[in-house]
Amino acid sequence: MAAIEVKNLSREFRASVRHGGMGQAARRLFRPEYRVVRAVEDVSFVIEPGERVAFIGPNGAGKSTTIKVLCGVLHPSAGEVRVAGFVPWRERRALGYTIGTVFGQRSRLWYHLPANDTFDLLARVYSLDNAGYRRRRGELVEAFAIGDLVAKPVRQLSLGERMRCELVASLLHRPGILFLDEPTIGLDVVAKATLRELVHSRSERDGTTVLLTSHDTGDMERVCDRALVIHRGRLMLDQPVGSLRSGFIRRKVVTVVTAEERVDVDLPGVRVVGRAPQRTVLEVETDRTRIETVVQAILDATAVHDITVEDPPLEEIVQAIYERAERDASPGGSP
Amino acid sequence: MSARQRSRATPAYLAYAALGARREFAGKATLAARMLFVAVILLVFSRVWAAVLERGLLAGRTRADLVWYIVITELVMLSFPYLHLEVEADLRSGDLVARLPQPVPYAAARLAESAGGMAVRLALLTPMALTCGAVFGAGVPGDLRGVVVALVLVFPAACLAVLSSAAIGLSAIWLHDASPVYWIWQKLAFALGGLLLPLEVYPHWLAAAARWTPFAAMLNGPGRMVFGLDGGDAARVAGQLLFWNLAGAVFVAWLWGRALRAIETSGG
Amino acid sequence: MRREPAIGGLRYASALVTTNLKASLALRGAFWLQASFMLLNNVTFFVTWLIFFHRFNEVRGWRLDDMLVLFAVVAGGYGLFNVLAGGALQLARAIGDGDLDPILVQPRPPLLQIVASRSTASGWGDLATGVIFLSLATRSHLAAAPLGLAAIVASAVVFTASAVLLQSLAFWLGRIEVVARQMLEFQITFGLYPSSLFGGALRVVLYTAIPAGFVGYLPAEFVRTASLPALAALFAGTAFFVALALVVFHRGLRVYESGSRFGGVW
Repeated sequence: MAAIEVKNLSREFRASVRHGGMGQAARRLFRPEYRVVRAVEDVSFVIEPGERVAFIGPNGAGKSTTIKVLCGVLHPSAGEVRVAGFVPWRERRALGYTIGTVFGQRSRLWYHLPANDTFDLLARVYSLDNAGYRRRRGELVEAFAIGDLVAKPVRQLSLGERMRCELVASLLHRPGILFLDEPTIGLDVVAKATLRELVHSRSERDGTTVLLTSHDTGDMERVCDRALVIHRGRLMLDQPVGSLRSGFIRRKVVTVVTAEERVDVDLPGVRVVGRAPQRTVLEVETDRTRIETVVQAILDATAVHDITVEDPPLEEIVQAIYERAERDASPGGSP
Repeated sequence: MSARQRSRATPAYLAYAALGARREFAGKATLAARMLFVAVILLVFSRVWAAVLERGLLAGRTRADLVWYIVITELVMLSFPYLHLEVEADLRSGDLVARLPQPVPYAAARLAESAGGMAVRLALLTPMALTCGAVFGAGVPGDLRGVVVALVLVFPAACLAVLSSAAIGLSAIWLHDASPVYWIWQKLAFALGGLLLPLEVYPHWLAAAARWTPFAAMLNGPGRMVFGLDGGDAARVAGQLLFWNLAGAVFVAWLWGRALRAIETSGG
Repeated sequence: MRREPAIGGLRYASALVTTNLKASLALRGAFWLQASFMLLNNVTFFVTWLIFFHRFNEVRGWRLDDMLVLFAVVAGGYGLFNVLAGGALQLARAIGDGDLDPILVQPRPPLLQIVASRSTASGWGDLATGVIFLSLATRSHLAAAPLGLAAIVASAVVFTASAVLLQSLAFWLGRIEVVARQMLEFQITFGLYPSSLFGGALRVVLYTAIPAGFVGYLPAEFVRTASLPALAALFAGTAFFVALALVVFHRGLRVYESGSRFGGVW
């Protein structure tokens, strides 16, 4: 059985129209005007147990709406969904035992109490037996290095510390599927890195299926194996994270440090994008000239101290995907 | 402060007052809701007083008198902006400290804002309150000149309430939560000021004691004017209100000084 | 699906209540300030009635003791509601902001979790007022005291149901927290006066649209008379409002938009 199955999922929202003066406001009280917004349109995908999948897209793309339907929080307008075999909005209670959730912008922890109190309550929420709960909590507290945080009131924790506690709260009942909605939003670089590492290693260890939404491509890169790119409610792309690069952008960046002042490479599709004394940055279009040819040409031309070949940042790749989506969509004139 | 600086500061206060006034217009719905609330109280007490009067328990007063008395006292309680909520919020958010270096002193700016808000409230609420009085009081008091005097006195009475509210807000520096203090102040005003019952129905000793408090000047003072014009009594109430407003201003200024010192030592 | 034995549900409910009370006690200073000042606030407010009945003794069959019972029931009921079910007052805001999300993914009745997610310190002051006033009013006939406690519980249940009912309208109407709160205030205000003062259409309103009769007059009447019809009416009314609140809330959940309607992020 697939962990998550989504077929032709759509979700509309009615946004009330607000413009005009008092008179119109009064009229709308009796005959409200709505504008229908399609947050998610005809989205289908299947996720197998143990997969780690990132759901990425710009703000307003429909990521959160989809994940909320999968958790049973929202009813869909159309389509079929099965999560762990359950129809989320109809079997919310049964589903609750099998999924864990972290909503980056909402807290499950009691603000004025230490996180331990929330954990104790969650043990009752999920009817965990005492011994098993204690063992699991001990294991997670150690893995997440929150031993000296769990006794402090949550309000005294930093956002990064709090998010680690949130994650532990969502894992206490050993969920088979973990949903993370913008889990790293607002975190600093170090806290982001820690959290990503923790999610990745935990899911490998417990065999948890992970579906996370983010507008930060770093989350996808560090945690997930597969990416679903959504834009304006539609699924644009579904492929392994690794092949996003090779499949999407045929461009590499070569940085060379040389003994001589400068190096010039005269090959089709190669251009200099940065230059400093003894240091040259080249951009290579790999479908015009193979990367090996370029490296060989440099080695032939001069003595090389150092050379690195890199993909452009993922951020740029994703931006290119969005831009292409935008171009494809514009002739149809979708709203 | 030189004369020139002073002449520049005056428009600043006007600007703050205008700001307060505009904010009240934005909150018309809340005001209407609170007026509705007063209408409920008036409805209840018109029944209560009808029951009392039909048994002849209170000679010399009509239902209109007693309902209009509440119209005036409630008008005072409704027409002052809740300055303590603002001050408390400013303390919590640190805005108060951030505003300290500004050329217009924080406390004065907030008071000017309240004055502007109060003017708008009075303008909006007075017609509504008078209408409610006529409906629930089944008429108007015998001597309408008294009502006019009462309406004039509502203004200094509301000023006294604003000063109290400012003092309560500043207490948040020490208590961290000003609302409980406000509840007590409000209920003391109800009881000792005679919000619902004129002091004349109080036991004599209690009425005598209450008259020494600012609450009686603030509520019963303007309220009892609707029972009929009495020049001497009106002058007495006006004098009391003047006295308590001055005393209140001195108290707020003193409290403000202490508050500043507390903020400076604790860094806010 | 895991079958849930009833005992698990009970243990969960008691853990929820304990956590909630712990949270409200976490800020000790604020807790005591609010609780004690609320008690003081209520006592001072009641001074008006002491003066009134001192002077007029009796109005339409009502005396000071009757007023004490009425005040005890309303304050006690509102206090108990705030202590155990204070979250109901946050429901409309939670609906508008999408704060129900973390609650909806848990395998427990969402309404119970929301309602018991908050306890207001001032509620203890109200509850204390209720108990003190009740013991003053029933000092000469102690048998009425248990009836009084039952009346306070009934009043608290109706307060909770009306709060849930009003605040649930946010599922359809959006930002209505202020109106919902105002309506509850009306309920308290009307509840604090003998409904024998009101006749005709207004009395109908006080047992339906603004169920003030069920949080004050009727439970107080039950304490005064200990009559079976009063009890039956109280029970029927309470059950009706609870059922209505449950239906409306669960209908609302179907159209819950997780904060998206009001300019949220899709």
